[in-house]
Order: sequence, then C-alpha cells, then structure tokens
Amino acid sequence: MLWIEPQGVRIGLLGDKAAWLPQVGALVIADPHFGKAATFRAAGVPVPEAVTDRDLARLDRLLQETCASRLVVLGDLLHAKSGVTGALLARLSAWRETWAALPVVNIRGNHDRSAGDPPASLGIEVRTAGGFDLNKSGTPGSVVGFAHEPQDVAGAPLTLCGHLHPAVRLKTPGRRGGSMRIACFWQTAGRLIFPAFGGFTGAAIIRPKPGDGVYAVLPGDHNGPAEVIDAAALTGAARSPRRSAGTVQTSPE
Amino acid sequence: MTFVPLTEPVSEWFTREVGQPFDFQRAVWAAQLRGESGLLHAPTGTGKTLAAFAACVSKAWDAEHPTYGEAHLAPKAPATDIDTSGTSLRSTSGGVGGSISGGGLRVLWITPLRALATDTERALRDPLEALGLDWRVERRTSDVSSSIRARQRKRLPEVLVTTPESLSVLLSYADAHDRFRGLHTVIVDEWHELMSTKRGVQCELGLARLRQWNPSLVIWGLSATLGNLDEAMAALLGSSTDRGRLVHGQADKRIELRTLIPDDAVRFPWAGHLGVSMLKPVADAIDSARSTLLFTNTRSQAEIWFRQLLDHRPDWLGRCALHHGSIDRNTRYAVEQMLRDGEMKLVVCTSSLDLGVDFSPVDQVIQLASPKGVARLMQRAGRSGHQPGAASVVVGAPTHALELLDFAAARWLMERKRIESRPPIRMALDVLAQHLVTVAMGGGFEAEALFGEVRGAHAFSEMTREQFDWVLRFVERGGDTLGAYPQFARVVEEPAGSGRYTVAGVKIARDHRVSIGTITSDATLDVRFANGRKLGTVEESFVGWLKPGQRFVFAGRMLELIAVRDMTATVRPAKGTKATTPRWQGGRTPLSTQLSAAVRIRLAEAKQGVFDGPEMRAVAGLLGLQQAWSSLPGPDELLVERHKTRDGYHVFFFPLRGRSVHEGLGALLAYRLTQSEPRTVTVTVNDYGLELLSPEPFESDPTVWKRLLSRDQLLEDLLVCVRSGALARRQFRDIARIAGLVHPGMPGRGKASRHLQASSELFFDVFTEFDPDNLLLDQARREVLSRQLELSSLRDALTAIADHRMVVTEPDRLTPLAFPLWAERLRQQHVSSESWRARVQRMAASLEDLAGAAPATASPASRG
Repeated sequence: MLWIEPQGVRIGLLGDKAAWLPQVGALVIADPHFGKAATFRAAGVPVPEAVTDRDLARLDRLLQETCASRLVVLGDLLHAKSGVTGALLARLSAWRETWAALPVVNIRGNHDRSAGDPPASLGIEVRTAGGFDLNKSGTPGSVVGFAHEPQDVAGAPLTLCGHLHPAVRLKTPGRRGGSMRIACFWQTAGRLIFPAFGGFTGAAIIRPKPGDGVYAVLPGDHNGPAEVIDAAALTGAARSPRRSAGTVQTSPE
Repeated sequence: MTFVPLTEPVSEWFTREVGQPFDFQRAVWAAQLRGESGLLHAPTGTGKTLAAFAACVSKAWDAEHPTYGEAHLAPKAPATDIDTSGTSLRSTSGGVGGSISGGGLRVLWITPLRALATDTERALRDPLEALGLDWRVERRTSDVSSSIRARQRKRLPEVLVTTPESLSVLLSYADAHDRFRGLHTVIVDEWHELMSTKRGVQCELGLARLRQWNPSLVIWGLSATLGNLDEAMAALLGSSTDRGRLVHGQADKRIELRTLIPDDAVRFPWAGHLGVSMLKPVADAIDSARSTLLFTNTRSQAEIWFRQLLDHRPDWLGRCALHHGSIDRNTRYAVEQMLRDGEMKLVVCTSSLDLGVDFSPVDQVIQLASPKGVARLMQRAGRSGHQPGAASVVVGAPTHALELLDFAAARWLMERKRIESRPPIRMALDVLAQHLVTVAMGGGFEAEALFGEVRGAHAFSEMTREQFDWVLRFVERGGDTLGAYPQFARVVEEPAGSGRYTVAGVKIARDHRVSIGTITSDATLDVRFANGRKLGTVEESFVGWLKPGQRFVFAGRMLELIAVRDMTATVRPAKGTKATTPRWQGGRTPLSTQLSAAVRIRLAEAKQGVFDGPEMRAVAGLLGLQQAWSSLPGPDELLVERHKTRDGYHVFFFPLRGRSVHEGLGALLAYRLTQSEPRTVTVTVNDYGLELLSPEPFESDPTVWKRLLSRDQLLEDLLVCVRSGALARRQFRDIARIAGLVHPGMPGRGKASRHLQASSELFFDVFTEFDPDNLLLDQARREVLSRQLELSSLRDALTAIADHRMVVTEPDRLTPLAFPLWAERLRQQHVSSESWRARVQRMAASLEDLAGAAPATASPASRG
C-alpha cells in the first residue's frame, strides 16, 4: 500500500486499483463497468465471461484484506443496458449475498445513467456527487468529495473521482524503445482521479502538469503482486510538457 | 497473316485501333476461349488490359449476334431478345461456363486500388462502345455513389470493376449466388501487389467461392515481374485447378539507372544529411526533363522534399504537387488528372503512385534514397518512357553515402535480371473468420462443404479440419472454451446439429458489412481547416505528440494545430520555417533479401579492390576508410566492431541482411545475453547491421558470441521474445480488426457505438489471460515471426553466420558503417530533432576531420 496525504487526507493506494480511507474504513474503487463483456458479446464480439468473475474475486480479496466497513464505487458500476443480462445480475446477487452486511454506495456515472441503476434487490445505494464528513466533526476540511466526472465538490478540499481511466506511458528499460501503458492514480489540484477497476476497460493517456501526483499501478508478475509507485518523476509531471507522449484521445468511459 | 483467335469484327477493330496483336495477347485470348485460367506477366503500358479483356469482348459480340457465325452477310441482328439469345449462344461460345447473355454480371475485374478502377472502367468501355455492344461497365468501389450502388443491388452490370473488399460485400448479400450466375471470367489486375497481403487472401477466398458456384470459371491474373511467378499463379488459381497457363508478355523494357553522384566531401552518412546537399543535383535533374515523378520511401520524406524543392525553386509553384496515401483522395485524383494532361512539372510521391495508372506524359523518374528492392525500383522506373522501344530511365538520388551501395547492388541485380519473390500469405485465420460471417450472410453455408471450398484457396490449402472448426467455433460462440462466451454469436447453426450456418441477426450482418475489409492501419484523424475543407489524414499517434498552437508540415503546407476533436484535427495555415514533419507508421521498408545479398557481393568485391560502376567508384573513398579504421566484411566473414563511448559499451554487428532480419537478431541476442546475467541492453538496427549498447562491458571472447548467434533453440527463444515483448501485441491490432473484434468506427453511429469501444491491446490481454489457446493470438505470434522478423531469412542468416569467420575489430572511433547506427539510436532517444541534429552534425564534422587526417587514401585492398 502506498500512503499519500493529498490536501491532508490520508489515503492508501492499493495495487488492485483501489484506495483505502482508514478514517472511515471505506474501500473506494471507480469504473468497474460490470457487464461490459456481455455488452460486447451481444454485439457479436467475443469477450470471455471470466472477466467479471475475476473482477469480483479481486474485490473479495480487497474487502478481506482491508476489513472495510463500507464500499464506495465512483460511478460506472454497470457498462450498458445490453450487458445487464440475467446472468450478470445473478452473478452480482451471489456476490452481494456473501457481503450482505456491507453498505455499498455507487456515485451515479454516465454509463449508469444509460444502463440504469442496479435493481433494488442488489442493495446498492445510488447517489449523485457530494461530500462526506470524515470524522463527523462538521469542521470544514473534514469533508471529502466523491464524484464520477472529475470536479470539485463544494466544501471539500479533496474530491475522489473516476471517469477518466487515467494511464501513463512508462519507458521500459532495455528492449528497443519500448514503452508500457500503465494505469495510474492522478492527483491534480484538489482531485484524486482513480484508475478504472474493471479488468476489461481501456485507459486514456494523461498529460500531467508539473506538481501533479502520478501514482502508477505496476501490474503484478511472478516476482510479486501489483503495487503502486510514485511515478511523477518518470512522467510528464516532472518534465517539460513536450516530453509526455500522447494526449487524451480515447473517449472516456 | 497470323491467326487472331477473336471473332472477326472484334479482331478487325483491334487491328484497326490498336495494331497487330502481340503473340502474348493472342495466347491469352486463345487460352481464355478454350476456357483455361492463368497468369499474364506483363509490365504496365504494354497492352495487358486488352490482352485480358478482348476475348470477353469477343464473347459479348458473339452473344449479341447469335446468327453471325452462320450468316456473315446477314444484316446486323436486331436488339436481341434476352431469353432466346441466351439459349442460342451456347452453341457458338462452346461451353465457357453458363449462359452468356441474359443480363447480369459476366466479367469481374478486380483491382487493388480504387484509383485504378476509374481508368480501367474507361479502358474496358472503349472497345464495347466502338463495337456498339450493349454491355454496361461500372465500378463498384467504396467511393461509388449510393444511387449507383442501389441500382447495382437490383442488377449488376455485365462488366464490374471492383476491389477485393467490395467483392466480399457483394458475396455477403443473400442472393449472391443468383447474381453471380452468369459470371464467366474474372480478371485480377496487379496480382503481384495483392498476393502477399491479407487482401490477397480475401481475394483467394472470394475466388474459391465463385469457382465453387461455377467450376469452369475462367480466372486470369495480371502481374508485374516477380521472382516467383509460378507460385503467384498457384496462389491465384488455388489448389482446385490442376494447372494454369503462364503467359509472358513483351520482354521487360530496358531500364537504365543513372545515379546522381555526390561530391566526395560527404563521407559520413546520416539520414537526411546528404539528402540536403543533394537538393541542387536533384533540382537540376528535374529541370532537365519536361515532367518528373520523384519517388520517396516515406511520406515524411515526401513532405520534407516537397518543401525544400519549392523553397529552392519557387517558380515551380503551381506545377508541382505532393501525392501520398494520407493526402485527401480528391486532391490526389486532381493531381493524377493533371499528370495525365501533362500539366505537371513535378510530383513528389510515395508508393501511392507505384501502381497502375498510365502516365504517358511522365519523362523522368527519380528514386530518392535507397530503392530497398529491385522489383520496386523497376516498377517505379516503368512509370516513365512509354514511347515504344525507349528505355525507361530512373535517376537514383542517394540521401547518404551508403545508399550508393544500395544503388550499386540494384544495378548488379538488374543486369542479371534477378528479381525478388513475394511470398503469398498462408493461414490468415482472421481473414477466414471474417469470410465465414460473409458467407453466412450470403445465403449461409454447410460446414463440410465450406471446409472443402476454403481448402481450395491457396492460403488455406494445408488447413486441418481442427483449425477450420476452431475458426467456425470462434464466430459461432467466441472460441473453444465452452461457456466462456455466453450470449455470443455471429453465426448460428440452424437447426442445431444440421451443420448449416447463417448469420446471427440483422444487426450483426449490418455491422459486419460495414467492417468488411482487411486493409488496416493505425487510427487516423482527418486534418481539416476550420471551414471544413479536408487536407488528408494523419495517424492518431502523431497528433498525440502535438499541442494546440504547435506547427507541423502536412500536405506540403505549414500548419498550426488548433484543436483535436471527434477524430478531426482542426488546423490553420501558419507562417515560419520551424515545424515538425509527421512520422507515419509503416514508413520503414526493409532492404529486400535479394538486394542485401547483392550489397554483400559488392562489398566483397570492394574488399578485393574491385569497384565496378559509377556508384562503387563514388563510394570507394568511404569504403577505404572503413577498411583502414576497421575492416570491410568479406564474403564469409561477420564483421564485429567493439567500441566504448561515454554512452557505454557498444558492439556493432554487420550481417548486411536487411532491417527485419537484424531486428530478429537483435531481439535474440538481447534475450540470450540477459538470460545469463541480468543487464540492460539497447538494440538499434538498420539495413546494414545492429548495435548493442550496455552500461556494462560485453563479453570479448568471439566463441561466446558464436554461441549467442547459434541456430539452436532459435524458434523457442524467439517465441519467448515475442510473447513477452510488445511485438505480438502490436501485430494483434490488425488481426483484431479483421477478425471483427474491433470496429473501425461506424459512419453515423459515432456516439451510439461508443460503449463498444475497446482497444486491440485490451483484447490481447484478455485473451492471453482467459483464453490462451486462442488461435488468433497464435496467428499474431506467427505473423511477427514470419513477417516482422522474417524467420526463414533469419534462420538462413544464422546458418551462414555459423560458418563465418568472426572479424572483431576495436576501432577507436565510429566507422562509416557504424555511424548511421549510432545516429539512429540517438534519434530514437532524442525527442527534439534539433538537439539530435546538432549532436550528429558535431560528430560527423569531427569524424570528417579525422578522416581527412587519417591515411584514408590507403587502398581498400592493401589491408586484410
């Protein structure tokens, strides 16, 4: 876990593209896009169903490891209407039963708006962007904002956001001019933008400004599990903007 | 008088309008009328179009004049009643497959380029109109208006000029079989161009289908000179035809290569350096001719040279144009028309003008930079000098000194008439996956019968039933793993267990028809002015580098980027001189195997002190320096140079086998080196050799290097490289698109299809993790091995190297052979071209000083 403290809020970044807010015992993820594989299959593109199972298994492991008392999803819980099949809902219900006592909140995202909110039987509370008082002291500064599209929530010095699927390009040492596209957490001003949690989601290369925080999620391999590293020095955040390859081209999901 | 195997009025027309037919034309006509298929090998501009088509005209005439053979003197038959003439014809045309009259498609003409279709349409229409025949000739390409397409939906013309993609679209209509019922002849133009591409495979599959419907279908290919014409014919005709007839056209025109020899001063070659100094000689050459085509190897090179030539000769403005694949189609057509009309002084172009269109008014062809292959050079040379008997002159303009060697090698090969072969593609499962859905739409198929039909296509002649079934399951339920892809179906078996397949739904069908096509490239953005005028397209990856406000050169103009939105880069004209030139993908053609072999021969000659031809004499000084400072690679030697700079430890290898082989060698060496101990190795390659760079010193024992270059375990080691590296991932992009995983944007459905966007990389990762046996992944690896790394050439190279003596030198400075590799690596590391240029220029200057001081005059043969 990589600990950061943007705007005074203590946050642990996890290699599985999730974050841990110890003050409220909340596990936070963004953009799982459940049902995306099914959406593709319905349109005649073969995407293996195992993607959903793996994402839920990752979530299980995170909840166990952090002993979280609540789960916050920063939007785009579901991908599209044609992907919300009976099989998907059955799978999600089965998962929900194993965590029946866990409060789950989804901040409604653009995909949720077209896919529709999850059925009430899933017991997922749906909210719009807003602030959350961390220690219930009511003092300004103890409020953290939660939103899907990057924005500043009034009264919150820090807002956790999703939507962008940020990634950076890191040069790989050795092999011929290679570079890797790596998902990241991106802190810019008062926003912390999360990488997409879903295993079958794309990513958009960001162009960090000097002073931004860039925390890259290095994928796990046989040497060890995935981990988050401070990558500001390796990317545009510390160099001249000319140096950062790419711009946000793919449409955010 | 020689016998002309055409019906009399047609042969009279031919003799009157064209002249006495050549022997090869008579041979093709006779063969076609006998019902034989084959391949005609003839260069452009020698009458190959009529060679292929006149027999069809003859059949058409007979069909419209059913009584002609019986009563010569009878008055011209009245407009024939469709049904009766259809029956009477069979007696005259002698079983050339099906009814000839009765409306509908008779002759299908397949061309690789839309641009060629227009010219071909005209050329085919001429004789029909002259003879008053009631046959329609139409194009069916993606740029034909929807009203014509709608008409063609009702009834196809008698002669249809089309591309492989559009043929696939036609085959996807449910009544396809009916519509092709009267087809008797298929001509595939520029088959040499198609056969080694996936579009060629698409064409082979389409032809297999047509042959299935009409076993006596006559199929002819037209091809330029190739080293493997027999194989080319086999690929076209497929395995179901036992043999075809190979007809050779007029002997290739004599080609004269005149290389512009630079002044001796430039010793240290680096990309573009010599090019600038060659500006004046090139401009003088352009001046000396009425009209010139200046061929470059890359689009960015074309942009740079167009700018520089115009700066140098502003008076050419207006008579000088740029032509490459990214320029807007209408602009390109306009340029082609002006060329035809003789209004152009100069067109700077890329392979976009390699093909087809006959520009008789072009006097001169200039090849800028290495020709890369001898077939390519000859093809380009053939674009000029269409006067009968005249030799085609091609002017070679090297952009750095080592390219003189490439021209010298090309001359050597041309003198010996050794032309490259092009291997046809095999087992392109992605194209097959696409074809299965196409056929499922076009009336459906029986699995068993289709397997046989597909095996009739050369590309799949060795396919096993297991492989076919995998592809079938891939389109039926996503893949082999049962239950892995619920709700997925592109084709369905109906009724279950019947072995009969149709497309899974209207929406699948519609999407499929839009995405048919196997030409793939990077995602591209339109480049437009704010008023909407389109200039052309650039690759997304290039615009990704630019920020609004930055300037770049495109379509010969200086532009400033305003914004990028919705796959459009909006620009405005800019002033100034400093700008970036787009670097397009695929700009790096490797030196052909033949040409690199000839380079090795010429270098070996040089080592013996033999400098034959103007290019070799010009490069003698440079090679002398190479010999003095290090060594020249002899015929059975592998030259290795070791070197230390502030960048680290360098090892340069010079196998002289072309970029692709060197890439494979580099990947292999880097992998094997890092196996024994973890270390960082940077690999840089060019057509002459490769450089390994590491912060730690390399092994100095030649036997260790010999072992690292061993042929043993080649495939296993390379597969590890391919699996772990980004190579297969990149190769998978094309495959994903062709196999229908990634939809290349649907016209008018931008927003609606957004939730279906996923990159091929994502598919690659998901398949690698959840469906590792997916044969499309396997195909990506195979394509990397065979096409990018040229596995068989690599194997040959390693076999040769095993017997080679390793000559290891330790020059205390960069040698002429090493310098371009050094500069190339620097270029890849430096983002700013300014700082790169400055550093390379400094190094070149200091080496030139040394060269002046060193005993560079030592005769190349004096050391050994």
